[in-house]
This record gives sequence, C-alpha cells and structure tokens, in this order.
Amino acid sequence: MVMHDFWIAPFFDFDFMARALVGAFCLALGATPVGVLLMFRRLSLTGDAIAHAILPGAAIGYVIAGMSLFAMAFGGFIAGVLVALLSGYVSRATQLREDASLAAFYLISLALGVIIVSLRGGNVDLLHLLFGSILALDNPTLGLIAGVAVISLCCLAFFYRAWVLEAFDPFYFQSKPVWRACVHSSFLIICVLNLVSGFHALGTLMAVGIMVLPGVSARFWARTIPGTMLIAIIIAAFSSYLGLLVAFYANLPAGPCIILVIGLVYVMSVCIGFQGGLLSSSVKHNLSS
Amino acid sequence: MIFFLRLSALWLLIFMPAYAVDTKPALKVVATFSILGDLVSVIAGDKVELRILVGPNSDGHLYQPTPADARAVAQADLLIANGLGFETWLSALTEAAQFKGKQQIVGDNIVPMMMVAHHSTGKIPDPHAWQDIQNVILYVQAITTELSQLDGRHRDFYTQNASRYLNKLRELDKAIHQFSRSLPPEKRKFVTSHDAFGYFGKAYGLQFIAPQGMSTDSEAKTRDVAQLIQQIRADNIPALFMENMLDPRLLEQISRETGVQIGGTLYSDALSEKNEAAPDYLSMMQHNLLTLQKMLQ
Repeated sequence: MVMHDFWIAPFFDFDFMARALVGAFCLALGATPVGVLLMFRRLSLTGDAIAHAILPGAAIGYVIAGMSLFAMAFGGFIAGVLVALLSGYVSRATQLREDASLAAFYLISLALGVIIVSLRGGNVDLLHLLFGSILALDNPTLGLIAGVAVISLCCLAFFYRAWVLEAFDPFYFQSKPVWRACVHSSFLIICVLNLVSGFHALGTLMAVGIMVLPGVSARFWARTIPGTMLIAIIIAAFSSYLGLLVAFYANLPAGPCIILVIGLVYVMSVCIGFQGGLLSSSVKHNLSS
Repeated sequence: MIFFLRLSALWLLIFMPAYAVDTKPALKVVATFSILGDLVSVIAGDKVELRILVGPNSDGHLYQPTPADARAVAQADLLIANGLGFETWLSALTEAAQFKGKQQIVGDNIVPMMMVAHHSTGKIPDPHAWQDIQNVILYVQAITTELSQLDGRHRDFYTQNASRYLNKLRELDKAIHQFSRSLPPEKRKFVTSHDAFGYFGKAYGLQFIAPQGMSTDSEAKTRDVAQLIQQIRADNIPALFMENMLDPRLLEQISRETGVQIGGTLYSDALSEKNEAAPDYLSMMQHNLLTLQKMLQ
C-alpha cells in the first residue's frame, strides 16, 4: 500500500502528472528511434541544430496567432524542414560539409527567432518556449504528440530498410537521385515532426535530450539496430517516469528532471554497458593480455 | 535672387538664437516600466520628453536593454525606477550608458513587504508595491517633487496635475475597499499565475496564491503545482486569474484539473496596449476590480 502511494499515487491524484507521463511516453515511442538513426548517421547534433531552427517558425506562428498550438507547430515544422533541406542543399552543392552548413543555418535561424519574439514585446514567452511546459499539456498538445508518435512509428515501419541503409552508407542511393531524395527527406521530415512535438512538451532545449540521449545510452547494451531502438525506448519511458517522480518529490521543474535521469542512465551505460562500455572493454583487455 | 537668399540667411542668423533661448529643451525623463511611465505622463504631460524602457505587456523581470534604450538613458536628466529589486538590470544599464543625470527610486518612499526569496533562505522585499494605491499616491508625490525641483518653470503645472490625479486615486482606493469589505471571508482567496498581488491582498484584505513563485524567470516546480491544486480543492477557492504577460498554459491545466473557472485577466506588472483593457494605471486597477467583481457576483 505504501509502495503504491509512493510510486503510483501522484499520477492518479494529479491529472497534470498523468498527462505529463503520457506525453513523455509518446515522445519516447516516436522520437527515440529517430535519435538512434541520427546516431548511426553520425548526426546526433543535427537534432540540436534543427530544434533551434524551429524557434523562428514557432515565433512567427506566435506573432500571427498568439499562443495557438496549430500556428506554432505548423510554423516550427516549416522552419525546421526548410533549414534542414537548405543546409542539405548547400552541403551537396558546395564543398561545405553538412554539419557546418547546418550550424550556419540554425544560428541564423535562432537569432531571427529571438528578434521576432522580441518584436511582439516582452521576452517572457520566449523563455517559456525555450523551456516548454510538460506540466501543462492540454488535449490538443497531447493529441499532437500522440499523432506525431503514430506517424513516425508508421513511417519507421515503412521506410525502415531504406533509412538504415542510408544511415550506414550515405552513398547507397547515389545512383538513384529520386530514391535518395525521397529517403532523405522523409527521414528529415519525421525528425522535424518529432522535434516540433518535443518542443511543445519539453521546449527547444530539452526536446533534443529525449530524442538523442536514450539512443546513445542504448548503444552500450544492444548489438542490433532494432535492439538498440527497443532499449532506447525503454530507457526513455522508464526515465520519464522516474524523472517525473523525482520532480514531484524533490519539488523541481519536470522537464530537466526527465532529461537528467536519462543522462544518469547514459553515464551508467558508458561505465558498465557490456557493448563497449568502459568496464567491458577493460575486462576484455585484461583477458587478452 | 541670390541677394534675397543671402538676406533671409542673415535673418535666420540674427533671429534663430533668440528662438532657441526661448524654447529651452524639455526635461528628458526615462521611466523603467509602463506603470511608472504612465504616472510621469499624467503629472508632466507634454512638458517633459518621456521614454519608457519596458513597454506594455512586457515583463520587467526579464527585460534586455536595446542600444536605443542605452542612448536614451545616457541623455536623460532624470531616471525613475521602482527599486525594491524589480529592475535587476538597471545598475548595469546606467553604468554601461554612463548615466550622469539624477536617479530616483520611488520604491524608497514606501514600507516594503518582505517575502521569502525562492533561491535562498533570506527574505527580500516584494517589488510589486504599485498594487497598493496608497503606495502609488506616495510615488506620485515623490515624482512631482522631483520634477518640480529639476524643472521649476512648470512647477504649478505639475502640482495641479498631480493633485487632480491623487483625488482620482483616492476615490478608486475607496471603491476597492468597499468591494473587498462586501466579500464574505470564505471568498477572499484567489489564484494567479505569478505572485504579484501581495500588496493588493494586504491592502484590501484578500489573499492571492500562485504556482510560479515570486519572479517569472523560473519554470514551475512540480510539487508546488500539486500543492496548489490540493489547496484549491481544500479551500474551495472561487476563481483563478491569468495575467497579461504570462504563459497561460499552466493555469489552464490547473483550471481543468480543479474544475475552477478562469475568471479573466488581471494586470500586474505591465500596462496593456492602448486598444486593450488597461492602457494606464487607473484603468488597470479599475479593470482588476471589475474582473474580481464579475467573477464573484
């Protein structure tokens, strides 16, 4: 009974806790597999860049329509896709590498976003945009997050092979430009969609955390790609639950708590993970010598 | 033709200085945020050149100065600030702008309420003193004295405007007292989105509680939100109120969860745009009073 009170009761007593948990679970399902693929493409930081690029789009939506979920999500989506595609184009058409051109575009985009928000007067809302509010998920926002999770899982099932091939061998579709464009842009779109939904739940800064961190932790436990994805989802979901409980009992903001718990899992994985963690590689080293 | 031009140039040379002496430049006043700016413009009208740093619907806790603001501060004769920890950015701004004029902290004229700081164990003054009209009366008197000293030519103008305004303030103060006295004790607790109504509550015998702590710069803490929800349920709090410059999402969630309606928008730290409900201090306080009345009757 006491166990129940401690571990479960907060989610039954308080609707906002239950909503936060459902939102975080949906994010775990939708975003973490994308994060795993990003990691295999060596583009983990791309998520971060695109997340910042979303800001001016959301800001324009906000300036036009106020705190409207649809306007902000739509604006953010357009801005994110635009930056991702533009930087992809620049890197293919010039000698600049993709990460560098992405960095350039997202910095421009972020500065633009800050200016647009300040034009509206008051910068408090900008801070709330950057940090999100997982404690205040209303029905439309939850619907958006769940919808994005469903879409991205469906796309993952449909494009799985193509995405994985492209992740490991970017030149695989070299000879078929139409295919290449299709595979590449579908992946980017799903990536941006997940960041937009994470942006509404956790804010720009934290959205990337739930996408990328579970994947890089799972890498230390799983051998196969589906295994990595599965473990990443489990890590994300478990950490969300634990993070919300910590936030509840220690009276801390919820979003950062969730990401910190995933961060702890990551540190643990680096140390004791048996797929190339520090401990396992030192054991191997000792055995061989 | 050329002769004519030269003649008119000569005229200008002779007479311009005379005009210039006659129109001594107006006093340059900078007010840190919209409410103080309104008080100055009521007292001084067009006799001073007024610039307001934190404009309508903006949050004074989190303002970032622009270069134009710094220039205005550098050229100002008088800088009027609230003090009591409200403008944390002010000393950096005056230093960077090499402000050489006179600085008036109107908050020094009142007795501050102390409250628990949310980062430390100590107590700090609550800056939102203007929510008690009696404090604003002291503000107005202090600003009038200061303006009259710096700009003696318009002393009578300032004093007359101020005394007319003070009468209006006293009337409104009475009206709010009448309203709050008419409320039964169990209907005197409200929830707002940030802790800005301490002075209002103390002056008029009401109680305001908020999920976000005193300042607007922190993300709400989980346990605080939970406790607030429990308190709303336990105390049968009749109404929640939004504020003009804050993210409404958290309050909407609390409203859904407790079934207590959101009773409208209260204005706390900033006036509204001209076409909205609270473009000046008097109408802001009137609007807040009306909003409370509508919700409770």
